[in-house]
Amino acid sequence: MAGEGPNLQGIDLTRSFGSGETLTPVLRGISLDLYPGRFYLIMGPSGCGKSTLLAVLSGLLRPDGGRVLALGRDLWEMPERERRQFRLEHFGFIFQGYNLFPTLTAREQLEMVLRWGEGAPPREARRRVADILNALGLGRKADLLPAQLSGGEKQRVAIGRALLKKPAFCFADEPTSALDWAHGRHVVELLHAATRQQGATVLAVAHDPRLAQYADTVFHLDDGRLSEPEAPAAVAGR
Amino acid sequence: MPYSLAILWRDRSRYLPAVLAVTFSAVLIAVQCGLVLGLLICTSVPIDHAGADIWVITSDAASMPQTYPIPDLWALRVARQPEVVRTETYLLGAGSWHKPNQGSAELCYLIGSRLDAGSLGVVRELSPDVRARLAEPGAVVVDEWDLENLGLSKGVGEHAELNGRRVRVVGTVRGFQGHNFIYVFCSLETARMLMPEFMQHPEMTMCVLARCKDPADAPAVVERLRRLHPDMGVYTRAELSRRVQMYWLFRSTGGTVMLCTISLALLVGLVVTSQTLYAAVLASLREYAVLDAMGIPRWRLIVLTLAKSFWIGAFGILLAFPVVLVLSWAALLMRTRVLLPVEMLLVTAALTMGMALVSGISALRPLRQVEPATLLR
Repeated sequence: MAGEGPNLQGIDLTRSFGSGETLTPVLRGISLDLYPGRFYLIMGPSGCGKSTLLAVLSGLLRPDGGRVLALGRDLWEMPERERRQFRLEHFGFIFQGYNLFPTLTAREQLEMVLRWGEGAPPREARRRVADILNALGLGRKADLLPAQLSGGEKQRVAIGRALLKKPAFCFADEPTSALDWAHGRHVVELLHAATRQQGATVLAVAHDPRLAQYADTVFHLDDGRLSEPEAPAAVAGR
Repeated sequence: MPYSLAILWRDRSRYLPAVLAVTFSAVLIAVQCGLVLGLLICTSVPIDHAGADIWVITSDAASMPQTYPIPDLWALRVARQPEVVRTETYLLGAGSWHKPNQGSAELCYLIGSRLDAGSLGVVRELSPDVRARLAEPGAVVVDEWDLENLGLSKGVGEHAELNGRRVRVVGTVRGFQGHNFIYVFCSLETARMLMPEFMQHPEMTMCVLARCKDPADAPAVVERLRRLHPDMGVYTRAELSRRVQMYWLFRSTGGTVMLCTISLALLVGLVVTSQTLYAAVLASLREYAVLDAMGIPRWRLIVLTLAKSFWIGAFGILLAFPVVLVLSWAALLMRTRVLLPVEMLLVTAALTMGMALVSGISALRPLRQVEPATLLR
């Protein structure tokens, strides 16, 4: 963690798609500061660039201009191998859809991350995975395949996969879009808990305003520009 | 259980075609090679089962059927070598076996040798009792699997005509079934009687056989005889056996057929396996992209695919072995030998495993398309 200061900064980020006459600017000089132990939500209409901003901040998509400082290091100045290692050590991801291997059990999906990522011994990986699955209420479903789990359970497995390494940052793209509100609320509560219990910085993008009540700070993205940070109460009051 | 094995097992309907393709390749290679080996052994079996360490034939003969009569005095040249303890003449030649009570004839290969206990040409499988009976004029021995082809029912005691002379079957042997011809064993005297050219020229023989006091001396003696008598074709037993087999393998196109079959088997296995793995990698691109986003090294995904190809190869080969055994047993029922030496089975397993791994490598191409940023659109 970076103490009192921000641990993730986006500075004057720009990103366009296409070229020539079809050039479409998506990010137009975006800057933002994110602090540890807080839950940030980026909202905006479909196609406004929320996911692009998430990809740029998480080291998955190179911006055309600007810098991303994570834990004080410029993400896009790192060589690819170093950036991959940085993601391995500090980033967790939750994507739209669950993207779970259909032929691996919930336990194996998570163990794979520890064993392949950290080189954790099988016994240690098994213990850590059992802990997090129990915490997610999936202890009795550890040996089930994704097809045997409900949508909410699958998303909890995906959250477990993202938070398993206790990352400093967790990036979530529409984490509740495939769920009904009862399951969606549970998922957001889990992410919220990660900020409090693990001190993680959670950055989620969504267009469901009901998520705002759980966020510490809400940004609005429109036409490639980011609004000033708002308190959730202001959003919920609209 | 390794992840690769778990994925393979739980999604077995997807991977089954690849496993069966490997099995098909392994079975085809093993059975085809086994058949060819069985035929190869047939071509040299009288040489392999005789007691001679050194064989002398005409100098330019590529194989036994190409030999031409040589002077029996060549036996003295060989006998002069200090390591040699015994020499003898050996007759062989083509014959026409007229089936009893039938109009047709069968091509046979007549082999005449001495029959005493220390004889160099007689095959080990002829018991002393049968040898004693073979000493009678006109007595012959044939393989029991060839009886039907020779128009015989029980063999021993039956008569037939060979090169227009009456012969009587006095015994049978096993494992001497020829390829495209039938071996007929007899004494030197009977052979001269049945082959007129040797009757007219008793000073000629077809081969001279020799035994060394120490069989390990044979290569050196052969080298010396070649140097001293370039007009003779001199070989150790192993050399002549191999020469005869190789002649058949390449002259008869048996080798070409074998190579074509192996190539075809590998190609079919390669295409099916690589396409199956390719489709599996394509279907998992999003899951791979998640792992990539989380910083899991790319080589882990490569190893996962290669491990799957390894297991496909292993299961395919395991499945192939009982099939090969059943087929070789079925071939035996049809009086066809499929030889399955361990070395050949190991080479088959290695070839098919190599094919499976190459399939895995060729299925890695879609991994280049793994792009985690696409998950955020």
